[in-house]
Amino acid sequence: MSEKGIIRKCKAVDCDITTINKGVQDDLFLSCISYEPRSVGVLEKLNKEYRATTGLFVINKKFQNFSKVQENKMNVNNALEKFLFFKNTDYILTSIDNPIKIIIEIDKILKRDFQNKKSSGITITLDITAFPRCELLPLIYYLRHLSYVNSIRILYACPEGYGNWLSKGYKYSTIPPFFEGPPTFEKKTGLLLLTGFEYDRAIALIDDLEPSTVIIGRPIPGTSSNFVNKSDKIIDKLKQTRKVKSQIYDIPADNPFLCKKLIEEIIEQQSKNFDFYVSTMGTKLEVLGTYLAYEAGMKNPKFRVIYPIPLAYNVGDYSYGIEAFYQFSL
Amino acid sequence: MPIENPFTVYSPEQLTPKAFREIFVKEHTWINALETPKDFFVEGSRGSGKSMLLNYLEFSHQLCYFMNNLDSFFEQKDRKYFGIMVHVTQEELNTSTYELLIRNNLAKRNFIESVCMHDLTMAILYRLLKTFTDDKIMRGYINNLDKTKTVAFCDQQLKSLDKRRKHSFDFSKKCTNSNLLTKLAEIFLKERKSIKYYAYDTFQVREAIYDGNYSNFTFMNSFINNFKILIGREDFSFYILMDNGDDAKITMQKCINKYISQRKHDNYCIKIAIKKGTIWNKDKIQWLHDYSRIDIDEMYSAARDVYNKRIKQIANIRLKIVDITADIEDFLIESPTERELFEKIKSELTERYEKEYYSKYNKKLDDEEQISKSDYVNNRVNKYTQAELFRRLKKTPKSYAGFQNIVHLSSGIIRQFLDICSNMFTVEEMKQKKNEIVKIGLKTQNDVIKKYADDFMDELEEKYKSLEKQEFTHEEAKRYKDLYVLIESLGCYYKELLMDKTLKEPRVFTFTLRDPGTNPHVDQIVELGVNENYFQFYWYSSKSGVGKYRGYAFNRRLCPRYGIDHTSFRGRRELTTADLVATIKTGKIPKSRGYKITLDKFVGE
Repeated sequence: MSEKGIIRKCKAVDCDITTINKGVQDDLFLSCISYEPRSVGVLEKLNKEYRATTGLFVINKKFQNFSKVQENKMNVNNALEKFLFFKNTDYILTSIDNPIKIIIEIDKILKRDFQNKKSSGITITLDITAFPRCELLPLIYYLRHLSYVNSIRILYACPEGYGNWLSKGYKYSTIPPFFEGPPTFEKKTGLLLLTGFEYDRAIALIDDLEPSTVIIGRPIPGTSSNFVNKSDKIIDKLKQTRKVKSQIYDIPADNPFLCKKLIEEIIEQQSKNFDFYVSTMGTKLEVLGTYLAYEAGMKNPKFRVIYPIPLAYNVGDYSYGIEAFYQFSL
Repeated sequence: MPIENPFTVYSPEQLTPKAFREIFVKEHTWINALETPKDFFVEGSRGSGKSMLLNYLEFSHQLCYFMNNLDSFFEQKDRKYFGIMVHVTQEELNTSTYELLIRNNLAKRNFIESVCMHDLTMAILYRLLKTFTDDKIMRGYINNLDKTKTVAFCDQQLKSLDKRRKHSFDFSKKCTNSNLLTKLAEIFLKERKSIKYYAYDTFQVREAIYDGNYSNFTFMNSFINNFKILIGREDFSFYILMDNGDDAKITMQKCINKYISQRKHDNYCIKIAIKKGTIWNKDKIQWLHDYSRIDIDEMYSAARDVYNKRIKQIANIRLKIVDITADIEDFLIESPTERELFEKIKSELTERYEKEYYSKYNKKLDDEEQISKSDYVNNRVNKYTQAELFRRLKKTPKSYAGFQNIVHLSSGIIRQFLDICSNMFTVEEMKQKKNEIVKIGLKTQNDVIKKYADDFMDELEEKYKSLEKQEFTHEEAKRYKDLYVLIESLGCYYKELLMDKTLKEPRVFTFTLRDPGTNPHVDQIVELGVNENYFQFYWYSSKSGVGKYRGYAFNRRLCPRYGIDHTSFRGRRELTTADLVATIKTGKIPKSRGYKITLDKFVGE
C-alpha cells in the first residue's frame, strides 16, 4: 500500500494494480465511466487476482447514451465477467447540476454492504481519472469525513496526449458543496487560477468575478508531454487580453501534496489583502491538491473553490492512450 | 489615483472611496430616484453602471462626499440614509445549498425557506454592523454612545434572536461599544455557519439537527428600529444595496421578494442590481405597488442627450486624472474629410429642399410659414444627410472615428465606451510614447472599432461551432447559429436600405415583431439576441394608437461590420415571425412583403 504522502508512478505498460493491503480484498472500488478511453484504464490494469467487495461505477447522465460511454461500459462489463473482481457491482447515474446525488447514492450502497464493518473500518480504492471536478470534490469530502474509512487509495491514469480541444465556451460557474469557504468576503477579491488548456472559461471566470488580483498557477511539469506547452499558450493569451494585476507561480501539477503546500503558501502570503477564489482547471492531481489545501484549513476556511462549466466538451477526441498511472493514499 | 490607461475599466471594489469620488459622475443618472426610500430593481446590461450606482449610495462613499465629516452627513436635510452594501456573491447569498436540499428532498420546503430567510437576515445585519464598525469615523461615533444603552441594545437583540439559548456572551464586559457590536455581528455569522453545518451534515446523509435560530423581516425591522434609536438617527433609513442580484438562486430570490413586499421603508428598503435577462420570479410582488424599476439600457436609449453628457463628463474627468489636457472631442478626433463632405452634403440638401418647399408652396412666406419651411427643410436634411454621406463614400470605408461616433457605438453601455477607448489607447501607446499622446489617430480608432465589431460576431460564431461539436448540444448550437445568421442577414439588409435613394427613411436600425409567440424557436432566438446583447429591446406604439410592438435594435457596436449608420434612432422594419423563419433559412430578409418602414414613436415600457 502506498504510504500517505508518497506518490507512486508507473508506466502504463508496467502497471499491475493489486489490493491496498496484500492478500486482503479492498472493500470499495469506485470509478467513473466517461467518453475517454482512459476512464477504464485502471480497471484494465487490475491484477487478475484483485478483489473488492463492491465495485461502483459512476456515469454522468448527460453522456450516458453517447457511443463512447456505451463502449466503455461494455468493456467494463466484459472485464467484470472475465475476472469477477467484485462481489457486487453497481452503476450510478449522476449530474453536475446535482453533485449531492452521488453522495446519496454511495451512502445507500455503503449502508447496504458495509453496515457490519463500521467498527473495523473499510478501505476504498478511488479511481479519479474521469470524475468531473464538481462531483469529485464533494465526493472526496464525503469519503474523508466518513468515520469508518481507514484509507483511501487514489488511482489516476494520465493520458498520452489530449485532443485539439477539450472544452469550448463558458456556461456558468459553480461552487461545489462543502467548498464555500468563508461565509463572507471582507477584503478585495483574488483569484488563484490553476490553468489548463481552456482560454474561454478562464477569461469568462475573470470577467465574472472581476478580481482585483489574479494569480496564475502554471502547471509544471504536467502529467503528459505536451501539457506545459499548451498551458503556456493559454497563459500568454490571458496576460495579453487582460490588465488585471497578475502573478505567475509554477504549480506542481503531478504531485497533489506539493500542490497543496504551494496553494497554502500563496493564500497565506496574499490573504492579508485578498479573499480568494481558487479554480483548478489543470490536472486532476491539482484538484486533489486543492482539496487537501482546503481540508487543512477546514476549521477556518481560507478560500472558496469555484469551477467554470463549459458549453461543450470534446466527447469525440478528448484524450488518447495512457502514459502512466499515479497511485497514492490520502 | 494613478491610472495608466485613462479608460481602464475598474470594478467598484478596486476603487477607494476617494478614487470613486474622483471618477464617478453622478449627474445625468438616476441617483435622485434611487435616493428615495423605495425598493428598486436596477436592471441593465453588463457594464451599464449598475454597481457604480449602488456603490455611490454606500455609506463609506457617501461619507467621503461629505469630506468624512459625520456631522455634515447627519445634518443633511434630505437623503437621510445609510447605504449598506450586501454583495450577493461575496456574502455567499448565491449559494445553491437550498436548491440542493429541495431537489434531493432532504428537508421540508417550508423549513428550507425559513432557514434561507434567516440566512439572508443574518447576512444583512452582519454587514450592517460591520459597515459601521469597520469605518474609523463611525467607529469613533459609536464608541462615544452611552455604554449602558449599547449593552442593553446588544442584550435585547441577542435575547430576541437567540430563543434556543445557543450563544452566551456577556455584553457588560469591559470593552468598547464598537467591540460589542462586532461581537453581535460575530454571533450573526455563527448563525449562518449553523445553517451551513446543518446542510453539510444533511448532504452527507447524516442525522442532521438544525440547532440554529430563525429570523425574518420582523426581527430585522425591530433591530433596525432599535439601532436607529441607539445611534440617535431615527430620521434615517437603511438602504440595503444588493449587487450581483442575478446570482441569487430561486429560494433566496423568494426571500428577498418577501422583504420587498413588507414595504417598511421608514426603516429599510432594498435596492437590487440584476443583469438584463435575469429570470426573477416577481409573482408575489407588484411593480409600482411594491417596488420600482430602473432599466438603464432603456433609459439611455430614450434619453440619448443625457447619456452623451454623462459619457463626456466621465471621459474628460479620466483624461484630466492622467494629465491629458485635451477635451475628449479633440482627443478622439473624427475624420475631417468626412466632416467636410458631410457639411457639403448638408448645404446641398438644404438648398434642394428649400427649392422644393418654394416650388410646392410658391408664395411669399410670413413668420409662421418660415418656421414651417425651416421644419420642412431641417427634417429632411437631418434625415438624409447621413445616408447620402454613406452613399457618396461608395467603396471608401466609412470612418466611425470621433467621440460622438463612439458614444453611439457604445449603445448606452458605459463599459462598452470605455472598452473601445481603452483598446484604442493601448494601440496608440505602442505607436507613440505614453506621455506624448494628445489624441488617438483615425486609423487606430477605425481599426479598433472594426475589430471590436468583428470580435463580437466571432464570439457568437465560436459559440455555436463549439456547441455543434457535441451531439447533445445541437439544439443549443442551432439557436446560436440561427441568431448568427439572423444578425448577418439584418446587417446586410440594413445596408441595402441605407443605399436605397428612393426610401423615405433609409437609416433603418431596428425591426419590430408583429406576432411574437407564434414560433417558440424564433422567440428563443430573438430573446437570446437580447440576453447576449446583440439586440436591444424596446416597446413601440403603433401610429394608429392600437397596441404596442416589440422592437429589436442592433447593438450599435455591430454597425461598422456592415458599414451601416450607427447614429439613427428613426425608422424600423416591421417583420413577422414567418419573415424571420425565412431569413434564418435563406440568410436573407424576404423582400416579398416590400419595404414597410414607419416612424412610429419609441416609448418606454
